[in-house]
Amino acid sequence: MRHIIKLTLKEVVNKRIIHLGIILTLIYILVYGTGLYYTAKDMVFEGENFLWGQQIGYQLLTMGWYVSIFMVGAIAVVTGASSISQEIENGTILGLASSPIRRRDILLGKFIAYSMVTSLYSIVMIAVIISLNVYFFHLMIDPLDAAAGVLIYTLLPITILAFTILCSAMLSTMTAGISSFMFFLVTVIGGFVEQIGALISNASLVNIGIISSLLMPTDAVYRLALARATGTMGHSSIVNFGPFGTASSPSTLMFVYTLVYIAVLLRLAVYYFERKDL
Amino acid sequence: MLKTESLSKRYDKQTACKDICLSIKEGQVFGLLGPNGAGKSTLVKMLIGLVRPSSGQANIMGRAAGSLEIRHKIGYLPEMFRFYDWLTGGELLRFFAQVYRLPAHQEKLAIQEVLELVGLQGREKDKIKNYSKGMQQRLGLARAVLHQPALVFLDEPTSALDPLGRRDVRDAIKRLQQKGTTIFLNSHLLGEVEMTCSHLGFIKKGQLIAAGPVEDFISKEQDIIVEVKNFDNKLLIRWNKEGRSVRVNEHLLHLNAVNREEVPLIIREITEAGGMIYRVESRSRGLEEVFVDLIENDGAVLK
Ligand SMILES: Nc1ncnc2c1ncn2[C@@H]1O[C@H](COP(=O)(O)OP(=O)(O)O)[C@@H](O)[C@H]1O
Ligand SMILES: [Mg+2]
Repeated sequence: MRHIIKLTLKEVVNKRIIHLGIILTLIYILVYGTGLYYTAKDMVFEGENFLWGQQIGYQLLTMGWYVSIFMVGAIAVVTGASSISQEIENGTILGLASSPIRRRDILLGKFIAYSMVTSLYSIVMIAVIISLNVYFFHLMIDPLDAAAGVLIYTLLPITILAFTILCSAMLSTMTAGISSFMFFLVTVIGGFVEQIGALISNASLVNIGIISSLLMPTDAVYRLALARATGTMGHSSIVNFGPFGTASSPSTLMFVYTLVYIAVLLRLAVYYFERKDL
Repeated sequence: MLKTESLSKRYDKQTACKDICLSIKEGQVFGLLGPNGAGKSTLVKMLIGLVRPSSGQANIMGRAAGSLEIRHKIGYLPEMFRFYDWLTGGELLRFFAQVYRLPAHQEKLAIQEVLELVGLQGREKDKIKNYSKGMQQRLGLARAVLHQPALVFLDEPTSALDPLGRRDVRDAIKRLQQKGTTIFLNSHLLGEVEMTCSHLGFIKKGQLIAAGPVEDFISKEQDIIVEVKNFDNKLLIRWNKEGRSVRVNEHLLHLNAVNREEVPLIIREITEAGGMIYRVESRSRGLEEVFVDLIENDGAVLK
């Protein structure tokens, strides 16, 4: 497994699509940072304006973070979708699977390597987004809370990866990629619907959100991470507002569910891969 | 070394291998011959554990084929060897040296040895994407034997190669054989196996229709030409009556499809009838004819 992790990390570094993703992310950060700069430029953050600044900062933070979901999702799907199926399509799997490496270790090794890379990507991205807001809006965020939130957020790419790798073990690269990304989008929209439902107290909307969160707990992970990062702040009614916020707060049960979800999907992926004729 | 019992593989629509019973002993170079789509690759993949058999059993060195410990002891060159092309040839071999747990101090030497075996020395620092197809295939061969496996499976090792590359691979196989490696070679090229194999199997539509030592296929029947003076034509008439294919051309006597065991008898008959033999030339009936016969008539002549 160690060998596969090392090899996969090397592979990621060599993947052109990853380079492209990083460049797009840098552009996004640049645009986002510029936006923050011009918003904050003429604002005063002292005295009675303090809370006002906190609220603007919080809104911009959640917005920036929310957009990152899609970028993290895209990166996770792109790396995960080709993990198994493309190796089968190219025939490179014959070299690996005929050697004394267990198929389980091939799959899990790739999963771990991709998880490391996409987690690092999410951590850096969110850390930058939080720091920018702290810098421009003097956002009062406890660094420890922020760190905890960012760490929880790594569950997002890991969850998407588990799902996509399962698809990759069962389907062709193309089908795995497209279906995983569509599925991911649906569940994110489901979470959005849930927040709207919570704001207007509509039970059916909330239920749609809960069901989609069970199918793939992407949105729940995001809300959980955001709620944790903004700590006490996120729960105060002054700033806690809007569809990107945490009006309907996820429970720790959801956190446990996410871990179980990842484990079950991986187990299934290994099951399929081990039975596959190469 | 290797033994299969009624090994079968059915895909949804077709049967790729049917009731294959095969046995290969240590040190043999076994060539499995058959047209494209006969089931050669599928059989090898079942023996390595890449494809799950639908039924039947396969054992290698007394253990279940495809198990982890057996995979340590065998080598495999796929029909089309492909690996991450952003690696260099040397990196690829180092990766597999670690996977096969070669001791660190042996790694360098082992890699040099196999690079030399396949004629790739000096190219190990090039990225695989800059290798030709033939070079990739030879790199695959190097990988297959890097850990000095006792048994190597080579699936059409030369189909991607030019004539020179083919000769290199044939030489490599010979050298492996001299080291005592048992070799399982898939091919649809007759000349290939004729030159390298000690044993042969013929597969058609997933069924193994014949298997045995090469001599069994080549020399059972041969054509002989005898340069003879004072040939007694009575013999000719008798042989014709017996249904032997024979004709005389001045001093040359052509006899076709003669069983190896009959050759000394024929020569004695000629001399006893007063013929003077100057030269006997025997031409093995080419494998090609046997192959065509096996594949088209299910080996009716051989049987
Ligand atoms: N994965 C697969 N799914 C369905 N049919 C297959 C598969 N692999 C091989 N076959 C079929 O099995 C038969 C044997 O194929 P193969 O073992 O590749 O033959 P060979 O190596 O002798 O050319 C062919 O008819 C082929 O179409
Ligand atoms: Mg084949």
